[in-house]
Amino acid sequence: MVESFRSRRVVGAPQKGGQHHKSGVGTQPQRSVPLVSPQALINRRKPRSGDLLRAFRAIDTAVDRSAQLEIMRSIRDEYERRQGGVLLGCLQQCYLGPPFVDHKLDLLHDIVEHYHAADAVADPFAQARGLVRSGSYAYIEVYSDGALVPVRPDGSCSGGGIL
Amino acid sequence: MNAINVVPIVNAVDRVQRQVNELTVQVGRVDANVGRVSVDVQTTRAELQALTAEFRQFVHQAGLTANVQRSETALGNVEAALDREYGHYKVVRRTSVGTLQAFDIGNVSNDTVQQISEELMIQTPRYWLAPALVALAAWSRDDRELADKSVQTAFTRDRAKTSLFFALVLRRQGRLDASSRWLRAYLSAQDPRALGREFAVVFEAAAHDAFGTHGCAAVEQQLAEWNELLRSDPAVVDAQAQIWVDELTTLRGSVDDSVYPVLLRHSPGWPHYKALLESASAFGFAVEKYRRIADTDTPLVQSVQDQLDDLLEQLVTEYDDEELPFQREVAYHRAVIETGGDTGRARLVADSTTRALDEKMDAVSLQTQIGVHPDEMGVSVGAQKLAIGAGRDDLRTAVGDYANAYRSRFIDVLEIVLAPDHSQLAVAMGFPGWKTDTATTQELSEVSLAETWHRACAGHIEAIRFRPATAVWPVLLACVVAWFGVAVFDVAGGLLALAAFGGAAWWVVRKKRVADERVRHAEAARGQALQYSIDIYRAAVAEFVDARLAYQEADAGERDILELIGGWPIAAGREKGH
Repeated sequence: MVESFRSRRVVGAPQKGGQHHKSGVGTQPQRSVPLVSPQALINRRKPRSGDLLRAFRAIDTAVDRSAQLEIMRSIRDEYERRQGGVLLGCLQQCYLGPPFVDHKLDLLHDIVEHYHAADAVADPFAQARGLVRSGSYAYIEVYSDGALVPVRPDGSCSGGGIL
Repeated sequence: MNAINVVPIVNAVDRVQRQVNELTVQVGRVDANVGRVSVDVQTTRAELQALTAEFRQFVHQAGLTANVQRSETALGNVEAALDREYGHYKVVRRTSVGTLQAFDIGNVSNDTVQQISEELMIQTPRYWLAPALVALAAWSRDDRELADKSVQTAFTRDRAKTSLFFALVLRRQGRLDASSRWLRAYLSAQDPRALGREFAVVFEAAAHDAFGTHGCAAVEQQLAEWNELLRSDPAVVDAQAQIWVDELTTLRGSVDDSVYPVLLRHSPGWPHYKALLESASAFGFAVEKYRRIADTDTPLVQSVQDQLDDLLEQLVTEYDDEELPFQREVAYHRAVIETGGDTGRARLVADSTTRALDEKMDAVSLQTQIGVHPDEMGVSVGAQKLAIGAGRDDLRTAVGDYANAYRSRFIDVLEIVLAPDHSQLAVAMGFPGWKTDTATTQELSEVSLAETWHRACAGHIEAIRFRPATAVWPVLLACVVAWFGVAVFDVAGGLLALAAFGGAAWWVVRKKRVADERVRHAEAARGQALQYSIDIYRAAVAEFVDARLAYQEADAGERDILELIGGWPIAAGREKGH
């Protein structure tokens, strides 16, 4: 099994645009869209539900592509309901075991990408790597306005929400 | 044939052989001398390195000591200046307390009080407390005109403090209505965005129910209104979290380098990891500090009278605005002395302290400052507890922000570098340097270290190893001698040939034995050097394991502080502004 992993395992391919109403946001230059309503910032700080945390935990155990898509869809729906701004994706500790250390859930393009310690991760996700490695958070949310929101294992968000 | 006399030739060959031998001995002696000099140079270099390190340490220490001494002198000067400039305020303050006590006891005549208060009025121009004292004396004599005039003067000198002073004095004399009126006058005179430091005293009074039901309700209502107004601005809320982040930053411990000596010397990433460890240590110290505050019982045994006296005393004895520049300097120099001369850290501590001395701040920041720096704000632990309870969401946010900031720089792997000069043997044997990291298994690292040592010494060992080619020359010489002997002397020549071969064989065997011995020595030295390097590597790994455990333990302190904040004691109905 392990030999079949490539150095970077990409599950799924970028979708051909237009399907999601948010798909243009990720291509914009970072930090050029700082407009987030105060209400969205307040919503961002509300605790994450148990279902959401379970869905994040299930990502590594879902080997089947369709199961993964299903999980990502449920995560996306939940975040849309929360209305805390446009979530580009999340960076999370990877439990597949060595050599993988973390993985990115690209919610805009439905991609799960697993990384080695030596792999470079594209910005703005790269800034979240130290937080993921510290092992203190369930996952790190990365928003289109450049905000990183670390989520503790109990679902509460750590800090004022902007790093 | 027999005309050839070989004796001179043999003699000549012998002479040459002797000279060559002598030369070999001399070269050997020079070699030994060079070796000795080389060892001396290595020893000198090592000693010089140790001396340099010691000297740097000394210079650093001397700098710190000089800083402390400078601050001690400066502190003395500032305190003397403070006394010179504002020492007479102290007389007024002491007299105010004394006058109030004298009124209680009734053992001092009105004339004395009048005389002293009027003298002070003349001696301390611009100070609000002097006319207030004259007003008190006039009130006690029923001299309404003088009392009105004096109150008016005090009120124009410092509206807020005078209102508060009379609110407290009247409350003390049981004139509740008049006291509440003064209090309302005081509150209405306040700008919630620029409260004076004395508002901390009012907060303290509210914490102790000191103004009676009406007065306290007025304060609480006012605070709630201000909180609502000010907290609608996210910048204000962020600023509160920042004050708490600064407080956590000052609570960081410092890691003793002597606990991790090997990492300090052999890991370039150690300062980074040390900073992580120090940052994480703040939680433990914060839990300790704030648990003690939470566990302190608010002293309820004191009578309201005593509390009021304390508050009044605070109002009249705490330093006033014009003294603040001096107080700032005092705070800085005290911090330099406390931190042992570390001016950077002292500036941080002093900044954090003097922010509490800022003349004006908004109502929300004031509550946060009361929570963080009760001593500088001149309030009791009871008021601090109340303020922390009111701002606990800010503290919770700050804990997250603080943790996020250092965790975003988290590393779980340290590089271990053995430099070419990590040991004397390494310098002597030309070790090229080696590095690994803590993520590489011990087995792999040690194999790679052994290989590096092997490569480092391979050239030297090969050079001294016995080579079969060395035997060619003596064997050839023996062949020539044997051929010559057999050709010239027949049977005796055969004996000469045997002797020549025997001599050559003896020479070759001796040479090989010497070479083998030197190779053995070199290999033993390499083994010893390798073992030394392995010991350093293992010690570094062991220290890293310790450091990681220490980090995990310190980092887990976040949970404890969050728990403490979650269960913070809040007086019923006292939480403001949320």
